[in-house]
Amino acid sequence: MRYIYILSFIFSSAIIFAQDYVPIDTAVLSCSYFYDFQEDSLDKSSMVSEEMTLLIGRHSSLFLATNQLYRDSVLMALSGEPFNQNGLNKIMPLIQGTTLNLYCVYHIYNNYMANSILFTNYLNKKYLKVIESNKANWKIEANKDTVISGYKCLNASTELWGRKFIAWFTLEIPISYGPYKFCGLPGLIIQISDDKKQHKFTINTVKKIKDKQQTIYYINKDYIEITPEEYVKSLQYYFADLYNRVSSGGMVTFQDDERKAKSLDRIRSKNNNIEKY
Amino acid sequence: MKKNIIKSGLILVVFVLGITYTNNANATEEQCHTVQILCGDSSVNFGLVCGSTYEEYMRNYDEMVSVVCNN
Repeated sequence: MRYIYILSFIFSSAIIFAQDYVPIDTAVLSCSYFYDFQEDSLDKSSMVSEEMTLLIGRHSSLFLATNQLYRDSVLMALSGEPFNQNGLNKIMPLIQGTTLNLYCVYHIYNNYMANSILFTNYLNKKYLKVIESNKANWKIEANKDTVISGYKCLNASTELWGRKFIAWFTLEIPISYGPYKFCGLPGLIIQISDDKKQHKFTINTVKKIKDKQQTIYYINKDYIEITPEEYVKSLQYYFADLYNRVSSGGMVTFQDDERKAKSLDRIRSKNNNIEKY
Repeated sequence: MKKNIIKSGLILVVFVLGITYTNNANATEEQCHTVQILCGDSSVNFGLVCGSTYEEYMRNYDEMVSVVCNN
């Protein structure tokens, strides 16, 4: 809740955007999701959770980690602050406790580019972007329904990225958006999971944005465009490189060898990206 | 937020101990700091966080905490 207040203050007071943060839409709905996912495909106990936010605007949406949204707001509010020690002294105390799971550091824009999903991330010291069609081939099961978080939901399924996904969407919110890259149903996706339950998004809250303006922004960087398959390879390379950097001892001095070994095991177990290809 | 912290059993405190070094003298100079990371299990670890932009610095900070505290 503290972050929501800070976020609201920052958004309402940040009139000037840095050149990097380009306003593209005004959010009318803010949806919070819990993303529960299994980092190690072979270990069901490796489930972790990250709170994510879907900002829905009049013609586009932005999906990102809630902590990332907060951090972006901090950077926007301090726009023009040169990157130096003084800037870090201002920013780092504000982001204490807002660390992100390394799988969830992306921004996903839907319809910012017409009929496309634009996925961006900073990985391996490069700004990367992936552009995909936002058309999915859903199969709606008209006779399957349930209630989730107070919303009457209908069932739909699709196959994407080497997985089968089962979605529950609600006609009570007739918006064709959803978490991550999922979209194209006649109502908001309330819950979606792959059939092995390794990646699951569940709605937490849905809030209309009336009084205060919340901008959907595009982070304008010199992105390198790659294919979805190349992105997955980049992610694999990133974790392999992280393993090597930690293993060589140049990055961290651990309290003891046992902790180092445990940390290396944990990095090695990050093998279950949502896109399998 | 709280759910995540409670779920992972980690409460993190990161202290910036001081500037280790600064590369270049232009607007995009790299800042590096030795940080002390206390994880929820009371372990104390040290790491070097660097970056030449805020985004890069924050990413490396996340990486460091993730590696050290196993989250």
